[in-house]
Amino acid sequence: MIAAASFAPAVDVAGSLPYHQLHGYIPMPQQSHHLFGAGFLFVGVLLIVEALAGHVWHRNRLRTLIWPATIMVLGAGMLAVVALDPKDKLIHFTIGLIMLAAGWVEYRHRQREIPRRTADLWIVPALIAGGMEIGVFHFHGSFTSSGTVHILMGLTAALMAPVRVYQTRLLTSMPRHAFMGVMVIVLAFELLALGH
Amino acid sequence: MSTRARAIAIGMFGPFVQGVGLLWVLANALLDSGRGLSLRYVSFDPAHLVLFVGILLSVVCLPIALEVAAAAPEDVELELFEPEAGSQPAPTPADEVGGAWEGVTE
Repeated sequence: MIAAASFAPAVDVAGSLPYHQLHGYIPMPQQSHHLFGAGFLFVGVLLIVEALAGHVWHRNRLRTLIWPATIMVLGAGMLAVVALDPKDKLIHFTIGLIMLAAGWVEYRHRQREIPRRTADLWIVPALIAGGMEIGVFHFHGSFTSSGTVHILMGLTAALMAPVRVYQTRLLTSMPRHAFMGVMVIVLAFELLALGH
Repeated sequence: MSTRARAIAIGMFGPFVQGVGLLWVLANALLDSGRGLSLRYVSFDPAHLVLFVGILLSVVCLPIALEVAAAAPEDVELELFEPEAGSQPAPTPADEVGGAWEGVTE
């Protein structure tokens, strides 16, 4: 509650951008969900490719960092959504911050600056919090197709937390690594299905 | 899983996603043939986005598939990013909590 209150001025500033004047030039909320879905589909498949390629994938530093970088870019995109979409500003702002922070922690882990389990101390609760926000608070109590998809998205994001812990227990396991990629692809298709 | 099988799987991801996107586009065209084809529609339509991601994946994955096909089996083992023991900084409170986490998960 305190954290939410402390973010309120930043959310208000972001939300005061001239949405109505820009309206013809920016994606509608449903369209921005589709763009995020495309982004998650891309990195989800690349996570599976990373699992299959092993050391070969990490011969190129750019490839090593593409996963945390994409999560951070998508987090920044979520903050842009706060600025452009007048609805659910606090939810989008918080999810954007969570994604930025989780991407940064994963980046530091991949730079060998922090151990995996330290990274998980942030990422696992972040996934649960993100799932709660999407599935519970973004749901708005409506069992329309959009409400149902938001519940599924929240469940998928929250389920990534135990998958992450399962993956950490045996870091050399290719199927466990690929499983996280599958979860990201499921999330991607849920985003792409919104409004259809 | 052999390196050859891994290379084939990696190489097929892009075309597979493209195929899904193409089927989705065709299904949309059959079910809703009256819809106009504007740049805005193509840019944000899920079916076209999946098709675009498939094309992008094909471009990105092809060199990786070739590298994996030429790699030795030990080169496709998963990379571990744990900090090296010599270069690891003094444990912070967060690391100590991380150690406790390790005890729980193992």
